Amino acid sequence: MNPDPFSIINAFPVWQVVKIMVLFLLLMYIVFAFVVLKQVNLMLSTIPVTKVPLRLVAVFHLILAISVFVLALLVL
Amino acid sequence: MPDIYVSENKDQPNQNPPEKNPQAGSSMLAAYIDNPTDIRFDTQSEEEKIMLLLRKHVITNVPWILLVILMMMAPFLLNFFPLLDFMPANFQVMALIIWYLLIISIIFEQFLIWFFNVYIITDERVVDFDFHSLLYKSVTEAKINKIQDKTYTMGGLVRTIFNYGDIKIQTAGAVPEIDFDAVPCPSDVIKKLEELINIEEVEERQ
Repeated sequence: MNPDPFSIINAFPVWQVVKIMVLFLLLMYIVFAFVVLKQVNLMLSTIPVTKVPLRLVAVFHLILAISVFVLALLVL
Repeated sequence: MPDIYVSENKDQPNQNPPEKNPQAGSSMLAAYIDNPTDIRFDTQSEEEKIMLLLRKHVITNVPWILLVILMMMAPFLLNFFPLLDFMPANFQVMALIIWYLLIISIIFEQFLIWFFNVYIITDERVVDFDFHSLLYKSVTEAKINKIQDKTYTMGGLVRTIFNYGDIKIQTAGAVPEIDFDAVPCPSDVIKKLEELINIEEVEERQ
């Protein structure tokens, strides 16, 4: 007897796959935030600007990216 | 030996101080900074003085700011068009958080690119710092005495209203042309460059 094709599709853990994809994307975003921080440091070494707290903003951005990754790990 | 010529107003203050550009700002976020005192760049020598720091006119940021505003309002449309209803509730919440994270990254990246793409005119040279994206940097420079020709264009309604335009500086150096894109008050920049070229020529003759 042939198995019901719809039961196979329904049994497929779609949201588990989506969760893994979202986590992978957020991991990539953390890498991006880290690159931004490195780039801000490079830009500031070329044109040192002390009045605008850009390094602080870049660090905050990286912390935000890590926080969202952890949140996704907990919520999804 | 008697002096051949002595200027009469040698010790008097300058009768015609340079006109202050109405668009010039002292803030670090200004697009036209005259004689900035608290800025240096990595290849600047000790005796070199920055005369002018330019960025693209602030108004050139409007397109991405409008895009960001639209993106920020987009989730409110979900009340009328429930496009995310097929997702479980926790995925919907994460989708919104990731959306706003994306908006933050666009704002930060666009600001950094605008802020660090600067054109610096010192008393010795013209330097163009280009950060095309977050991963690509180029620095172009030309000595003031190598400048051969300079032109500016200011076409279009917005550029005329907000008084900004493009400057092309042709040089005799290794870099044939340096472009200043969408800088405020291009005629004043050209005037300042002309003054610096004249000073440099006088210095060379002495």
